[in-house]
Amino acid sequence: MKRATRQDGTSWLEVGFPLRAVPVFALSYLYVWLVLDPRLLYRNRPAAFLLDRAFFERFLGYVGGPVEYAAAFLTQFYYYPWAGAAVIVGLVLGSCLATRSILSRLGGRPSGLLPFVPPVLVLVLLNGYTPMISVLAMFLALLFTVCYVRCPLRRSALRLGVFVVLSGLLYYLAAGPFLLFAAMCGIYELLAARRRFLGAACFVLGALWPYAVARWLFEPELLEFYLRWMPLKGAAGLHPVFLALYVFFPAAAIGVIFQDALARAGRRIAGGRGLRLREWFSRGRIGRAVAALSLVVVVAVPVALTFDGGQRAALRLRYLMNGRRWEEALAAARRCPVDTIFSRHAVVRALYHTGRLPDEMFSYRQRAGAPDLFLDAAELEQFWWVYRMRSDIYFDLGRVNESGQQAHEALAHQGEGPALLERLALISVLKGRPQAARTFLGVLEKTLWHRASAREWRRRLDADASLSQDPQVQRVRSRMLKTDYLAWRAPLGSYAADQLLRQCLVANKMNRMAFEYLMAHYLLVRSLDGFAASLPHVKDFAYSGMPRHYAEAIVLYAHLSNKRLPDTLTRLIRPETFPRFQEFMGVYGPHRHDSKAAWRALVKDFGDTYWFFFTFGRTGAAGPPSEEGETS
Amino acid sequence: MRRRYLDVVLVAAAAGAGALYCCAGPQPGEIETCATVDRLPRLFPDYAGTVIPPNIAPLNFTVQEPGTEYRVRISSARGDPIEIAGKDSRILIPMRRWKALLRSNAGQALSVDVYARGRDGSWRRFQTITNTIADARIDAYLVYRLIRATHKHTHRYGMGIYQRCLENFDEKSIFQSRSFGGGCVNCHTFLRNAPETMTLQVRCAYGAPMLIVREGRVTHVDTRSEFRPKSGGYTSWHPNGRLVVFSINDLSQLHHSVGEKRDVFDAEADLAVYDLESNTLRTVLAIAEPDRLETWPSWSSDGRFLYFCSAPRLPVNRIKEIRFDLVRIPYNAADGTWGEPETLAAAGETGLSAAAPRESPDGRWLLFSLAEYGNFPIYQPSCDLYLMDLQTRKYRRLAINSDRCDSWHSWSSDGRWIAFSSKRRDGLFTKVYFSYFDPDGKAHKPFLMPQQDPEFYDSCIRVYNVPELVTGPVRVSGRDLGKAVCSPAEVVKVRYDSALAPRVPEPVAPGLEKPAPWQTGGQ
Repeated sequence: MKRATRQDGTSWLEVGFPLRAVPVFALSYLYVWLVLDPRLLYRNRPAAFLLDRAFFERFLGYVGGPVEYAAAFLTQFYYYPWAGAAVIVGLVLGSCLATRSILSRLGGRPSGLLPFVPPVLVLVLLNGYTPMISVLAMFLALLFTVCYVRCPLRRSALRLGVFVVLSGLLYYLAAGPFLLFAAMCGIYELLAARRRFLGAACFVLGALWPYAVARWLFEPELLEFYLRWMPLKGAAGLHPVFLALYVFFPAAAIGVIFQDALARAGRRIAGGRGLRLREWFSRGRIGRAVAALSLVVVVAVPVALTFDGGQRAALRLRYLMNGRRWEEALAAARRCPVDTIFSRHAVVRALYHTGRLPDEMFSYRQRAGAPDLFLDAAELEQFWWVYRMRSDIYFDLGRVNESGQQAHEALAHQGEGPALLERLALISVLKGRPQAARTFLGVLEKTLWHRASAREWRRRLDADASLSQDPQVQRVRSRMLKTDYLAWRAPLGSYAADQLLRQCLVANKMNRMAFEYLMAHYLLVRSLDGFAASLPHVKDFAYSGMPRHYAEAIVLYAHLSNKRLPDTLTRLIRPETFPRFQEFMGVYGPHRHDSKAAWRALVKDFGDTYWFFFTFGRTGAAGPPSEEGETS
Repeated sequence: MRRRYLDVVLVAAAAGAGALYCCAGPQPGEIETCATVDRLPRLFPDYAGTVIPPNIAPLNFTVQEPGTEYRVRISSARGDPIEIAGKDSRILIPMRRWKALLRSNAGQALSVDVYARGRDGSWRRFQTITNTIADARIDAYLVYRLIRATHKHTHRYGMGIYQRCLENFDEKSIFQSRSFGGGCVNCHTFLRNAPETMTLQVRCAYGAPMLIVREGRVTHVDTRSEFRPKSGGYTSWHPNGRLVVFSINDLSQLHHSVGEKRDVFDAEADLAVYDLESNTLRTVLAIAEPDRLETWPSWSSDGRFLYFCSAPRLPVNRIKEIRFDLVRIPYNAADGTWGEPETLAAAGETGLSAAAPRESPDGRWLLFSLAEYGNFPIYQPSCDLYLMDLQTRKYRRLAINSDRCDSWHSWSSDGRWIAFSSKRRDGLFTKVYFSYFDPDGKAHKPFLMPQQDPEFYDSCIRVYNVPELVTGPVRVSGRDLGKAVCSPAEVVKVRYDSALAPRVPEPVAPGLEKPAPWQTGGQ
């Protein structure tokens, strides 16, 4: 049967490869830049990178270290989303070209659509904001595979030598993905070049190499030597996309080697229909344009279907919080499809900073009794960013010792992130250690994008070692504790949240954040007694009238305790609060034994009130218990 | 044609030489006529007025004086002076010439003249810095632990034991926490400054062994026994190389909300002696009293005494009242008998808490630290080094202390040098300092461990712990140490000899157990 080949022997699928590749990668670039937004990764998890020999040497002492160093460097470009997108799409394009080169060498002719499979899978991975290092390591393995299969040497002994040299180098550079290289070389030698001994040697050496290195270096975790930078197993079990990616290459290689046989089988099944269709695609401009468009669709559909809006929203929320963009953070929190302890923590913090915490706290998702305020549950420490968030909250409260501790933990966990270095420098200033601040700024000065900032801080420190004119420093300094409270368990475990906040108020009774957080704590844990006991301090703060949720809690407290409110307090409460409470009780009364019916009856008009929260343990925005979808 | 090229090369060479000449600092005439500044130049590190070893690596420094060009002349009685000039304020001294100068001038003064050129083009000359090159060499290697200033998560970029050759700038890792899957490695201890014999304490998922390195072999020793189910802590080798004494502590980390953040509470501490040959652990009441804490053991240089620190057990809420006495007890290694303990410095008299006694190799001096309270000096800003003359039993605060924490001291093998950690520079990151200790018992102005890049410390956010001077490189490999931790050929389980055992500890008095949450306010 006649094959749809051109005069020069290339198949229809190869016609206009650049024509079809350009729109795919151009759209990929726009997608990564504008939708995924590399800034979210940079700001949320800035990979440490210092222009420093000692920093470089840190990565030389272990297998896979150099690729980690390279990934740390390339990740710096995420700072500028357009540059970050260029880096990512460069890697995607590179993996496409490398795949094309390998497969065409294996199959004896260009290999059609297959080179576009790795880009699709990589984009799907990036939808989950996968760190770059795994993709970079895989790309390196592909490059080495290209070098090997394109090596012009024919004698087996020489080729074995090339394989051993490339193996040693690649394994040191990229660790685990070396296995992909070994497998591809083995397949090539065994099935395409028919050098059976050499092929078997590639497989055997590939399997033994990590073992030998692990034994030689003696590091205890053998599996780590096989799988470093190959995250086949994620937190939730096997990582299907990575698995698919690593299975794809050998499968595609075998496929293209046996493509003639497969094509014959395909033609027997499809008759002449497939051939006619392919001829139409390869003939004329319209056919080629349709083919290019089809490719875009083929790439776009899986990428679009696997886009994780929830994760992006969560990352964006953290990004906005890190940038102290409170209003945008609140808007993002409202739109965020997932309800997590972190998003609730963010809402409380953003509301405080916008001055709306006592009035709007229950307009957002909230749940009773959750340890949202300080994120101090030990199990949260599985999330690396929790240290940074804790450091932020303690810093704002004026608890600089605790903030510093958490920042140090974050630094040890994620490396020398610029924001952490700045935080630690400020804490050092607040603790009267300007030289330590200079040391942190010395590290900051070695980063790629924050040198100017470090120099500016140093200049200011030289002018005034206590930064007494800096508003942020002034604010935190005025809130710093003066009494030493010895805590047993890190970070503050010996103390309950209300004790911590009271300690802040002992140091400075005008610490508005501590007060509002204390009241928020009592409201969240539904401790009306604690709330009422702290209420007299409301006069220390210049509220224009009683804040809405405080007023709702006061009315509720009076109702539940059968106490008459003092006139001084009643005067501060907006008059409409009382009839509204009566209305709430009126609607709630008939449904008091049927919580689902009560929820339905009240959520529309009262879902953002403290009465509703107190009754159901969650706000209307958090949704009814049966519709839970939260994660932590 | 060839001639023309030659001309071009010659002209270029002449121009280059001229440029170099012009940039190489003040001309002879300028030096003689330049203005003199009536003070010492500001240098970092402060290498002025100190005594340095004749085998130390170049003391590279930065001139912290404003200027557009600098010139430094380092000279001594014999040999050619070293002259360094340029626009960079970092003065990097050539290794070979530095070594030659120091080698031929041991016992002599070392002068450092610093010139700086101002923006107006005029040169200024500062007062000459005079250091002294000691006769005594410092032990060539320093072993220390490098760690971040964290409370946990010490595994990510690794805690590790490193060795630094003090005669040059080579730093090598001995053992990293990565080698055993993350965890804690500490308390490296050597037998009489010899790198061949050492112990290490490890705490990780594979257990909490004491690693003993002798004659190139690493042994995994599980020191937990019926005496105490906890692993060992501070360790000291008996000079006979057969006995190791260590403390068994029940340490917990505490956190202050004001001042130094970290603190450590020791709920229980006793000492025990491990005999390597008989694989036996022994203790006696005098070093393991149930109602007292005994810690920081250290043998005297002749092995006839064991120094340690002792304090009554108090509940955690009285941590600031816990003050340790400095004690020693006679010991006869031949028959394993103990004498009566004697208090050398009672906390009641000093008003302070003693830690880390270390006798000088000649047995004349005892170096120890005193802090406001507790037994973890590194977290005590008040911690200072003290020296006791063992002939007179009088002790004094050393002049080399700073107003910040100075601790973790060790002697060189000949007793002429002290290495110690200090937070004097910034109050947060401990760095290693060396001080010459003369035969009269005077510790001279300390100097910071030199680095190739004198600006190294400006961005060093790691902490140097437990600097121990050793006479040569530690040759045991991290691989062997890791293997001994994770898959040892043999785990030596110590055998506890209870013949001399102290009483079983009484139940912990209320408040001594892990503290309940604080109900009261601050202290």
